[in-house]
Amino acid sequence: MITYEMIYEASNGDISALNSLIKQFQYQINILATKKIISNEKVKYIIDVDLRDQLVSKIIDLTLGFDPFPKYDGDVENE
Amino acid sequence: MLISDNEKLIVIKQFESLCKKSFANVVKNYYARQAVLCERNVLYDELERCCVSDNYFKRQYVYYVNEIPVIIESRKIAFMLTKLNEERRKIILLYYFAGFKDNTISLLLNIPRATIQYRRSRALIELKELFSGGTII
Repeated sequence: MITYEMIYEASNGDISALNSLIKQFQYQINILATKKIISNEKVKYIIDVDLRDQLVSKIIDLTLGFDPFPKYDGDVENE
Repeated sequence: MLISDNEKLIVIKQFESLCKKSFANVVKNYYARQAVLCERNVLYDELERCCVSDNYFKRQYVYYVNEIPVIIESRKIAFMLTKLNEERRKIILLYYFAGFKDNTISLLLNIPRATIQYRRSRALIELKELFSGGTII
């Protein structure tokens, strides 16, 4: 399960937290990257490695640029 | 900065929702890119049609005009050129197959440039008639 601490540490560049975050999304990534292939009248399911890698790199990209503090609609920063 | 458990939950939800949206976009872009590549990619056997082959051992017809060899690959054209008179054939060969200009041809054949131009145009009309199967006047 994803925890706040995990997100916070990962957004600050902690590699182990980032890895555990990727692990949490692994199931979802595998489902999205799965392709159905029909060869010799048999149905096969394969994981598109390119797409999987793109999704993993997207998580890393998002996490490193994520602000781990709550934002509300119409939020105004107080000075 | 201290945040409550409720706010932590909000951050987690925001992060998950952001990830889901981004995943959807990545997958959409990936398949769109794949579709474009499928349209533009060319199969190897289709590439062979565009390749250039060597003509070393192909049958060629060689005419000599003032000791300049002029090579013609088409058998039909080579045959039709034999039907033209010698002067016109020389001009056609030098202009269209050897790539000389009218001025150069006039120097090579010792004929005025205007005559070259006239004979060339006449020879073309003649060839056109020969190819269309008509008779030459």
